[in-house]
Amino acid sequence: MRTKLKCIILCIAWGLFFIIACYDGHGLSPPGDVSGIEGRITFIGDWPDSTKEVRLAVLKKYPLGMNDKDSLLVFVISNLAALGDPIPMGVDHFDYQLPLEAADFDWVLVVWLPDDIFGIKELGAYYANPDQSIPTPISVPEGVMLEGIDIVADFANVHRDKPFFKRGALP
Amino acid sequence: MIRQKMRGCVFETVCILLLLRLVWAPALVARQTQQPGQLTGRVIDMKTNKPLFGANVIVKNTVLGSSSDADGHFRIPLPAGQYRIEASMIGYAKQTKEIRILPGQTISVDFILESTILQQPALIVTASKRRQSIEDAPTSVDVITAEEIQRRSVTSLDEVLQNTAGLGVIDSQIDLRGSTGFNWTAGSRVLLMIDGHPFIAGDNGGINWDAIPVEEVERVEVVKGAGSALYGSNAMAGMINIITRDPSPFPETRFKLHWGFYDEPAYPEWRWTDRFLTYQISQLNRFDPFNSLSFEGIDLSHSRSMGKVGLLVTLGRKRSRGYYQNGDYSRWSALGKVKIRFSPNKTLSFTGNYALNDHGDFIQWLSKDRPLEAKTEEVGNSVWSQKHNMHATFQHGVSQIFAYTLKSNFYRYHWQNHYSDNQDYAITDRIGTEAQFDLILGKQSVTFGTEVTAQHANSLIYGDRDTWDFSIYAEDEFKFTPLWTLTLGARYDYHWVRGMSSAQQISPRMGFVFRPWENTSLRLSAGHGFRAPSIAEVFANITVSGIHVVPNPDLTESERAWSLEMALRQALVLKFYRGSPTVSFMRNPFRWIAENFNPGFIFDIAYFWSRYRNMIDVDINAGLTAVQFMNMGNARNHGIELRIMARAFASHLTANVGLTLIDPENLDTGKTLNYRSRSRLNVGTELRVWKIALGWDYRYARRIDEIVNVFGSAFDERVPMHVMDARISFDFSPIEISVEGKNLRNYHYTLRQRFLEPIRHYVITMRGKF
Repeated sequence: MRTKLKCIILCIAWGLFFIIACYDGHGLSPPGDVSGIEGRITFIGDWPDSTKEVRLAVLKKYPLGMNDKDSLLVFVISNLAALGDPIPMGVDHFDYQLPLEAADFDWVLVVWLPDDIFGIKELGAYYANPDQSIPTPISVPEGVMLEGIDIVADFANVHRDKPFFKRGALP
Repeated sequence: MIRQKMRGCVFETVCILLLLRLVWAPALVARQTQQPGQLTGRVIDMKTNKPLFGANVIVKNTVLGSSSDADGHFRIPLPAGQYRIEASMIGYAKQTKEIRILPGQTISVDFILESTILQQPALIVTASKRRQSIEDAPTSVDVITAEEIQRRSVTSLDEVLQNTAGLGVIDSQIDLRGSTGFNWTAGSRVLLMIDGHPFIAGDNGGINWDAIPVEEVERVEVVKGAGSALYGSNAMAGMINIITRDPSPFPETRFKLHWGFYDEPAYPEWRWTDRFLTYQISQLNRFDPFNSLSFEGIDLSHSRSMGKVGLLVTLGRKRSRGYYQNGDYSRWSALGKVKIRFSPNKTLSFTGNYALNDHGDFIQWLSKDRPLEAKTEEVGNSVWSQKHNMHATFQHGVSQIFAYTLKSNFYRYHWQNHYSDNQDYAITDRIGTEAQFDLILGKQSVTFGTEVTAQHANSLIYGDRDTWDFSIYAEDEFKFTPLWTLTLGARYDYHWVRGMSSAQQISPRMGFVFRPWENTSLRLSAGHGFRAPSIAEVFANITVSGIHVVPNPDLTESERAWSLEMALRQALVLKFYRGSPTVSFMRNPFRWIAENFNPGFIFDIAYFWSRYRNMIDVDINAGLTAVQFMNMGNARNHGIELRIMARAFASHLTANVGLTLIDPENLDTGKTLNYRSRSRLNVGTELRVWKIALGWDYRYARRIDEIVNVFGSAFDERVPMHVMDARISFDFSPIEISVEGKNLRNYHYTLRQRFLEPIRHYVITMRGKF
């Protein structure tokens, strides 16, 4: 009787494992309902040795009229909507996709981080028209991956047209 | 000073004694072969009384042995003396007999083997470069038999190997216990061999699975752990030896036909064409099996022996439309094998193998929304390639204590890109020769030899390159008692790159096996492995799909690793019912189950540890804005592997489980090594009733922690792997028909970036033997 029981348990276990292994679920799925932005970041110039990280960042507002560094840092922290993964060091371009909530964003930028967090700098931002003086705001609709948010990041020309920081190359 | 001189004298004396012993051995051989006797006999199945073909008959403590022919007969010339003869075959319990032969005498001994539920392979040849039982091997060994391969409808051997514990295949590259992960197909830390001859490309050290004759494989031995002490570079994490079948002693023709099709992806938006068969049938009311995303193939082989000469010839043709854009291929393959048996102890075999493959190329998907479509500019890209492989082996058992093997091999790999922006090509040759000597000295089995290999690459992307390798090796197995075995060995390798650099390496190995009981074996092994950088890793200069690979002439250091393994193997047979079965299944199924259950198990648990130095990996070169192969630094990998092989109902129900847990760490960065799954589970079972066999395989691998972000995608496409295959086959001897569903859950996953692994597909196979 014990043997019969063991046999039955074995057969049930064999079948159960098959069913468990077949449970529903298809792994990767299309990002169809994901909102966000995608595009290409093109890097100009040599990556400085002092670079610790370079990331893509999205802020809700643009700091118009702000003129001191400490206030800017507070502003960035309070308005940061998303921060991308570190961009591989040394690449000449980087195709990105960044999920975001459906909302309006004023500043999509590439930030450069040295070892000192207060040395954070903007390498470039999204400008629909290169002649614009301030970055182009974007509006991300629900369930749409907004394409073509391309950015030029120039290591020799940081903080383009900002009154509160000097324009120039990175250390 | 005096002590130093004394030490020098002792060393010289030992060397002289060893030399004298080696010189003495042939003299001893000559004397003993003056009046040879002969051992003949048959190997028979106890239950059916039928002869067993292919059973191994070996003379213990000698290098001599033979295998039974189609009538179960064997013949071994033996000098006068007293011997222990062992007959073994997979699925049967070993049998040993003592015999005594007088000068010139012929004696006959029959072996009647009893089938056993534990289907252990009789003998393996890869772990120590000589025949030994699997329990005597100091490292973990998995054996995949021809039956296991043929049970699954596969067109490429890697599809079967993925069901082995701790083994994964990423884009044709073998990852054994997390040793390699994925190195962008350049440089393998596992040495792949066919019949003991290296079968890796001369340029990138990669594996061309399409050139392996799957239908002609007798068995595959997967040896885990450092093997550089016997096999040199590439064998730093293990070896996979594919042993092809010998020509049949009687005329035999085999065929295999297969046809299959890919199901639609799980998401309608991923359906990139209306050529999915199920879509054609359901939506277009059309059935066009050869113009849908299907695949088909035919393999034919004929084998026979004429006197001392055995011949095997095969021809194969396979085509596929693939499941993704550019996923098509058209392949031809041919193999010829000649085996000349000059005498039972002297054989020459020659194998020639050719494969032609014209296939589409898919580097990365268009987007995550359209993962089965190639980049617009890459649509239509294809690669044409052909592989020529030839190898010859001459084996001569000079006496019962001395044998030698001479091997030579040649492998040419020629490929040509047909891309819209790239017409690169490469012709790479690998030529090698080896002499191996085996000597039995009392309780010691000594294997020593020398090997020379030259590799040449001529191509746009590598330039004109040559590398040379020279090596000598020796290993000694001391069998103190039947319970204790100690193995000590080492190999010296000299690696030279023309016009660049040279390097040398000594790889020692130690193994220890303790068998306190017949079904128990404890083993411990430690060894040093290394891998010299491949031509591709040093010289590749190519741009593919936007990725710039730049050469690294500074990559001169071999990567090195110390490895250790401790393991326990225990076989267990539970006989709940000891009498003969009394009822049939149809009459009383419960009673039949109770009388036939009697399960058998083999448990094998191993702890392994490896410490790598100068590990070579691909990385993004900060200064060059491109990827490059470099010595990345130090790494450590350790883990546990559990294997369970279970059989019940006289092997009508079989189950294999393999669980591997690893902890691979880059010691310099503290991160997990790239492309490693920390856990991997394989489960396979089969139930055979009457002429029907039902089976399923399940593979799981945990989500990969770290990757090299060469494509620069911020989106994460990594998920765990859950793959489920199931099959049913009908044996209407001599014809067998099977239907197999692969990736039945239609689970979508990637193993490397931007490439979706095979979606659900079905295969119908018919094979026959006349």
